[in-house]
Parts: sequence; structure tokens; C-alpha cells
Amino acid sequence: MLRDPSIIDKYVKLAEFAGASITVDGDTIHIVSKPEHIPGLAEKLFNEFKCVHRTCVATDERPLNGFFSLTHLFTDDANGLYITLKTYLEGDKPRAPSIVDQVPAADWCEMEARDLVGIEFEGRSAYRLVLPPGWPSEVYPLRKDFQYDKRPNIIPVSEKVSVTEESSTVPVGPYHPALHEPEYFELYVEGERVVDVKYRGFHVHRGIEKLGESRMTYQQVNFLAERICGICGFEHSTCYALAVEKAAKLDVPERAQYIRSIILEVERLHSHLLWLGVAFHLVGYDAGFMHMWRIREKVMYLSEYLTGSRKTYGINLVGGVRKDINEEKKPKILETLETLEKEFKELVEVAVSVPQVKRRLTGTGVLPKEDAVKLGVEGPVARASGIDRDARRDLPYAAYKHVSFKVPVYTEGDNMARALVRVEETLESISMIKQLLDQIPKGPIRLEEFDIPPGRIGVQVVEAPRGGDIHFVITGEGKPYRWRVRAPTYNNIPALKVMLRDQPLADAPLTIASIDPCFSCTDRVVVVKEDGSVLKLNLTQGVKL
Amino acid sequence: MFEIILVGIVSAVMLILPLLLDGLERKVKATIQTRIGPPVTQTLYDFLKLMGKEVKPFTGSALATYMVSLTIILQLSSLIALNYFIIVERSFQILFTGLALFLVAQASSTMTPLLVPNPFSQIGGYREVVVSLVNEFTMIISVGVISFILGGRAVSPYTYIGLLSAMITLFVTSYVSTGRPPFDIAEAEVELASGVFVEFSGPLLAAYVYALLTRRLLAKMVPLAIILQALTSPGLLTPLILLPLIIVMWVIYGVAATVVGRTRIDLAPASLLKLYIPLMALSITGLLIGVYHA
Repeated sequence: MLRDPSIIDKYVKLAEFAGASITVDGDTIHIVSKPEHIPGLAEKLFNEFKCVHRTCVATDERPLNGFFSLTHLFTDDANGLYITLKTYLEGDKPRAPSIVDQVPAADWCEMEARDLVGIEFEGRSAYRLVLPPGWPSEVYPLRKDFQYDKRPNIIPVSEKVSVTEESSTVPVGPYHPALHEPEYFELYVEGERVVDVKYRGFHVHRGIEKLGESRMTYQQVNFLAERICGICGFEHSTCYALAVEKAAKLDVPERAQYIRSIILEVERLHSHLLWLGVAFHLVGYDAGFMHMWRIREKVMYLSEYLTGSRKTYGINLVGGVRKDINEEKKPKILETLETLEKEFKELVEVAVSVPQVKRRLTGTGVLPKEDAVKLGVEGPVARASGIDRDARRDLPYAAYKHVSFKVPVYTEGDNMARALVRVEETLESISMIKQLLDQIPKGPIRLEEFDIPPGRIGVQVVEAPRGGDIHFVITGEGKPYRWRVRAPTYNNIPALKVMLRDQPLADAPLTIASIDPCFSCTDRVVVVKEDGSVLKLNLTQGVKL
Repeated sequence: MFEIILVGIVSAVMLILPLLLDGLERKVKATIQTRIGPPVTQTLYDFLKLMGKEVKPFTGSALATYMVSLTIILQLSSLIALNYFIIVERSFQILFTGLALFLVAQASSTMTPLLVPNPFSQIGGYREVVVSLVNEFTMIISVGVISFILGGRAVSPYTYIGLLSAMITLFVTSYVSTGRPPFDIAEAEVELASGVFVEFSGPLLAAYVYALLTRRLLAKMVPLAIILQALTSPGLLTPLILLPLIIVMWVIYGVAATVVGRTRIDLAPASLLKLYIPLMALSITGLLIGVYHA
């Protein structure tokens, strides 16, 4: 992509002003600064340059250079740029200035860096976020001296339900019919109105990043990445593959990029149809739920027809894909899409006009744009609150630069707006698959031979159905040295506090579902038994639960 | 004597009917939702299986068991009274006794979740009370108006407008009291984790579910009995007409429940009042005009 040189210049001036070093590498600008200048630079990037804070990454680089590092990942979506703001930290007990005051969206990633790598943050209150309460102190699982199969002695600690005099407490979770994964919300209610919310997540500790960095090869990680999520796994494997390819500067065959885009959109279709079905179920409109899932079955069929699997396709590789789309498949795909589009439009028209559906979606779970920007929310949640952002258009990857599509944006910020964004995106996805099938070039589908030099950095955002997935890779010898994954739900959950407050209790499950949460994607490998001992992971036999 | 035995036989058939009709409703819903659905006898199988399971006691389970038993006894008494009314003697005193027993059974059923010390059950129970306050009150008024008009104490062509309006009100209230969508807010709202059912298990759960299903049967039987008493004479013919009508009405209510969503507790009373106030105003106006002309 050709860029106006003045855009790069402003970043160069910013770095020079702070006495930081700057390197431009393709679509990524790397700024390395002293720790004390990080908050100022982050503020400029966030408030002045209107960059989006995607996440931060703590890395134990002691085996490489003797330091820890902390990298804040921003994207300048208006100019299609990735900005990495990195600082090196000294000692075994590294300290870094917090940027939460300047960029509220950095709250969780800083606490995750504290839990997993042991970086203390100055100028903010600290709390344990990711690790279980009984995890021993000063044991940091993502440090390089921590073996992936080490089993620390965990003392189980139970947490009590908070009771207040002012309001009643309604516990939702960690196992609850409103949640399909283990998470815990405490809703403080006065009458039928929610006055405050406490969230306790991170019940699932899968240690995916540690596995990827310690005992898997570059290509194996693709398959692990796809298992991050049961719904949008292909987005994760694509995001990982693209990040490694970017770091290694691999020129992946265009046909492979088209195939990736097609499958990504197929996955978006089934995710959105699934969500719409769940939303109808939550407002008691089960006819809408069942019919939406009946229509979704066509997408599952399409996935199987294209990849051989209804879900978790396993076709992504670093350097391309494993499965081609034959010419003779096209007519059947197009026919399925036509039927799908027709039935979807008919169903949505009926469903959103059901009085109860309309009333319960409209005006509930409102997220104002100002909060959405501060919290750095992602995907349909952001677009429903007036943020015009979509990585497929703003940070184009795979074959998205070859298709035209509309990014639906609503300003209401309520549950209806989030539903309508997904409805429109479903229709856009159908259109995009048709365009991609029409334009798909001939040629190979993967690189046969390539090298991945160590020490390179790759950052990639992929617009998953729930928002931007971001994968950050520092290449190593035969495997990633550091692999950081951040799913969109990670940024969307903090917004629930705003969305649930002063809302009817009965709409709480719908509002929680409206961010299309994927809790296990968000959570971070230990399986703790009742007696506190830890089950050993066996990658060939799995874990017996 | 034969008539008394007939009341016993019809009542016995009607006691099994809710379990089968719920199965039928599930089948109809499944058909609309393009599913195969469970067999018609599934609810009966579930009931029998739950009856054979152990009860997991909870704080206040004795009181809850008492209330559930009381509800079923009251429902049974109401059923017998209504059958006696349609088969043996068309006395409004018996009809009102049947109706009063039904309403007391409703109140007993509504109170049960409030006796369970669990926030989900309490919230569910509270929601049910709120809806019942609006609904049952309207039901009583509509039955009063209908009885007054059909009793011949108000004579005028305008009376029929009032009667029609009161009949519509009675059918709407009977639908609402069955606890189907959009009014299944006491147990089906997801945040309640099954609300009123949350602590129940084994035979107690079976009995509570059975009481809810019997409530559905009685809620349909009351308006139908009031209509049929004006069109038929006491005897076997009335229950022979009544039973198919109950089945048809159960299916219609089931279809209606499938095509709507669920309302919210803050919306339900307001929505019901918006509907009931004009209908009742029309009914009472018709009645008053009839009384004036009489």
C-alpha cells in the first residue's frame, strides 16, 4: 500500500521528540523508548494520533539480551499501520510505568503481564487477573526459566459471594445457563434493576502461548491456534500464520490468500447466525432460534464441502493452505449461498418485528461511543457504538483488498444495534464470498520451501466475527520465541460494566451475550483437580477430565 | 349415582390429560420449528421417571412440599367441581366454587417459589405474583360479568358487546395464567437459572411441574365450561364436547406461544393493563346498559 510520507514523518517526529528509536518495516512502525517515556508516547498515540490500543505483550528476552521487554501494540486504522511501542526493563523484578491513566484499554493486558511475566506496574493499583488465586507468588509461567511442564503447588482458594446492604446480589456463574463457558458475574440489583456488576473471569487456564513457545513447531502452532476458539478458530490460525509470514517476509501465493478469505467469511456467517439464534433464544423467541440454526446448517455444510470439516478445518499453514477450492465446486457453493441469503432475509424480517424481540433489543445494554473508544472495544460491539473500524478494510490482509464491501455502523450502541450490525455483516459476507469465488486466481496454494529467520517481529490483526484478533510473534529457532494472542472478547468484557449498569435484570443475559463473548478464548495450562493437584498435560492422549 | 361416577371418570381422564397434552404441544412446537421433537408421551415418561428419583432436601423443602400438595389438592377439587357443574348440576354456586378453588390453587402455586430461600426462586416468585395480581383480578371480573349477563340479569342487544368483550378478556387471562410465552417470566428468563424450579428435584419437581400443567388445563376449562353451559344441557355430551375443545385450545395456545418472544417483568403488567382496561371498560359498560334496560 502506498502511503503519504507525511504519515510516517509524524511518527518519526514523535519518536525523535521522546528520544526513541524508530524503524519502519512494511506496514509496521517499531518505536523503542526508555520506560519513562512510554506513558507520554502512549498518550500521544491514543489521544492525538487516534491510534487504537490493541493489547500489550510482556516478553522475557533475558536469554537474548538480558532484559525483559514490554510492547504496547497500537494500530493506526485510518492509515493502515501497526505501531509497536517497546521498552526494555532491567532486573529480575522488572518495573514499568503504567499507561492505564492515558489508555484505559491497557488495564487487563498490564495485569496479565504482571501475572504471567512478573512485571510490576507503577502508578496504578495492581490485582491478580489471570492466574488462579491459589497460584504461588513469584512464579511466572511465561518466563523462559519456567518449564512448560512444571507443576507448581496450587492451594485452592474459594471466593465468596459479595453481600452488600444497599442491594441484593444475583450470582451468575461460574456455571450458569446464561453462560456457555465458566465465567462469573455478580449482579447487584435493586428491585429488578442492575446497579453494579462485578466480573471474575479467567477460570480456564490453557497455557496456549506457553505451549506454542516451548514444544511446538511453527506449523504445529497453526493447529493449536485454531483450537483457541470453537467458533472463530480459523481467524486465529489465519492471524497466527499471517503474523509469522509478515515477520519472515514470505510472499504467500495469492490463491491461498483468497481461499483464506473465503473460509474466514464462511466462519463469520456461521458465527453470526449462531449468535442471532442465541439472541432470539434469550428473549424467549425459540422459533427464531431454531430457524436461524436451521439456516446455519447450510453454512456448516458449506464448511464441510470446502474444507472437509464442519468446524476446526485445519487447512491453514504458514506459507499457504492445505486444501484447494476446485472449479467444479463453485456452482454448488453459489447455489447454497443464494438459498441462504433468501432464507436469512425472510427470517430476519419476521424475527426483528416480533414485538417482544424488538422491545427487548431496543434501548437495552447501551454502550456510549465515548466509553467504547476508551475501552478499546472490538468488532460489532464497536461498530454498534458508532466506531467505524473493521480490520478487513483498514488493515487489509489475505484477499480483502480485492473485494468491495460495506462496513455497517450504528450509533445507538444498544443490543438492537449490535444485532443489526451482525445481520448486515452476514449479508456482506455472502456478497464477499461470491466476489472472491469469481476473482480467485489460478496458481499454487502454498509455498513449498521457505526460511523463518529468528528475531523478527510480526503483528497481525484479523477481523473475527467478534472483533479483531491480534497475534504478535517474535520468531525463534524452529518455533516462535514469543507468541501473544489476544481475542476480541478480552477487550469487550470490560465494557459490560457500562452496558449492564442501570439496566433491567432480565436483560442482563442478553446484554452479556450481545458482545458474543468467547470466554475461553479470553482465558489463558493447568487443570486443577479438587485436591489442588495439577493434571499433567499429555498432548497425544489429551487430558482426562 | 351414574352421574357421580361419570364425574369421577371424566375427572380421572382429565388428570392424565395435561401430561399428554404437554407432549402434544412440544410436538406441535417442534413441527413449527422444523424439528422432530420428542414423542407425545415424553412429558409422561419424564413425570414417571422423576417420581422414581430421590428428593434432594433443601431449606424449607417441607413447606414447599406442603404447598405443592395443597395446590394439587385444590386443583383436583376445582376440576371435580367444574365437572360436576357441566355434567350434573348447572348451578352458578358450583361454578363459582370451582373457579374460586382454581384461583386459590393459583395463589398457592404462585406462593410456593417465595418459600424457597434461593434468590433465583424468590425473584421468579415475585415476578409471578406481579403478573398474577393483574391477571387473576381481571379474570375474576370477567367471569363475574359473563355470569351476570348469562344469568339473564342484564337484557339488551348492547349486552352482547359486553359479553363478547368479557369472553375475549377471559380467554386472554386464561392464556396468561398458563405461564406460556410471553408470560413465562417466572422460570424461563435465563438469568433465573430455572427460577421457581431451581431447588426442586425428584417427586417434588414432578409434582410441581404436574401442578403447572394442571393449571394450564384448568385455565382452558374455565372459559370453555362457561360457554358450554349456555349451549348444552347437563350430561355426558358436554364433557364429550369439552375434551376435544380443550385439546384444540391447548394446541392453539401452544402455537401462539411459539410465535412470540418473552416479555419483561417491567413491561408485562403495563402491556396487560393496556389490553385489559379497554376490554373491561367495554364489558362493564355493556353490562350496565343491559341492567339499565332491564
